[in-house]
Amino acid sequence: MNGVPKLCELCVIRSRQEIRLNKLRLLTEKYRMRQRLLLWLMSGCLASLMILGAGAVIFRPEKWVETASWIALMTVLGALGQTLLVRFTLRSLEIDSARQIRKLDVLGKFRFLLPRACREDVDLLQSDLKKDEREMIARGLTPSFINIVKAWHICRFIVPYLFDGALSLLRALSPLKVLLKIFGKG
Amino acid sequence: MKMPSPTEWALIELLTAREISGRDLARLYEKETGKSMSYGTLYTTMRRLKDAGWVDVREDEDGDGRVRLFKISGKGAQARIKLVEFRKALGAESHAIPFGFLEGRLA
Repeated sequence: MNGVPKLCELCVIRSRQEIRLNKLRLLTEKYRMRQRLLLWLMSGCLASLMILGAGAVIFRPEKWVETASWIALMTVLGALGQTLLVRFTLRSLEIDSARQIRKLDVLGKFRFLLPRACREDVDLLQSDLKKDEREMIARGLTPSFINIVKAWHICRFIVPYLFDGALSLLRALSPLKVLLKIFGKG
Repeated sequence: MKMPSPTEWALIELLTAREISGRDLARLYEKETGKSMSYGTLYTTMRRLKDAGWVDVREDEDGDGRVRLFKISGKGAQARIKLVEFRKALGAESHAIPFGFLEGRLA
């Protein structure tokens, strides 16, 4: 019976595994926090540089203006790029499931803007998208790609209805336009 | 009903007496025609076909939520045969008949 571990030994092994897992979780969280902090610091530095550049343009004498405007332009562009990069990175670090739920919520909110006959389509689309998502996950596609595909489907679903709504609004307003013309001439 | 549009016609051709879900129908459409179809277009088109009585619709539910199942109706099958004959008489290729052309001939 030497090869078979006892119950207490199994418990010890399991508790060790749990400790390792917890350590890993903590390390991942720390790493994420550090990354966020670094990114925010970098963007903060760039933003302050941008402010300095703008200040140089506004308050410095004329001979400095040319150089200062160039610095200001570069810092503005840099800060914009950095902000976008920071946002993108932070979003990719976020838990994906929460974002997916948020996107489907958009559809849920959009439901009330639709005519009653079309409201059921939103439910159908939601269930279809869930299946698509599961299939894409099984195929090993990245979460970002899955989100882009879902967003694309949602846009393709929403845009025709918005277009139709805008057209019907115009149609409703067109008699007003005619009346305005008549009264305008009078 | 009006003469079906190319999209409606393609969907009628894909439908059989066996029930098929909207998602599977969209996949089949993509496979057969090489063009993708949004779910919004699909469900709107199928609603039009249902209103014309060419398609039978059944609502169901699975783990993800609602599912709509479609199959061709008796009227739809008859209309499809008529359309094929009509097209053969014209000598037209599939999907070549313009939308609204010879409206009401199948009524």
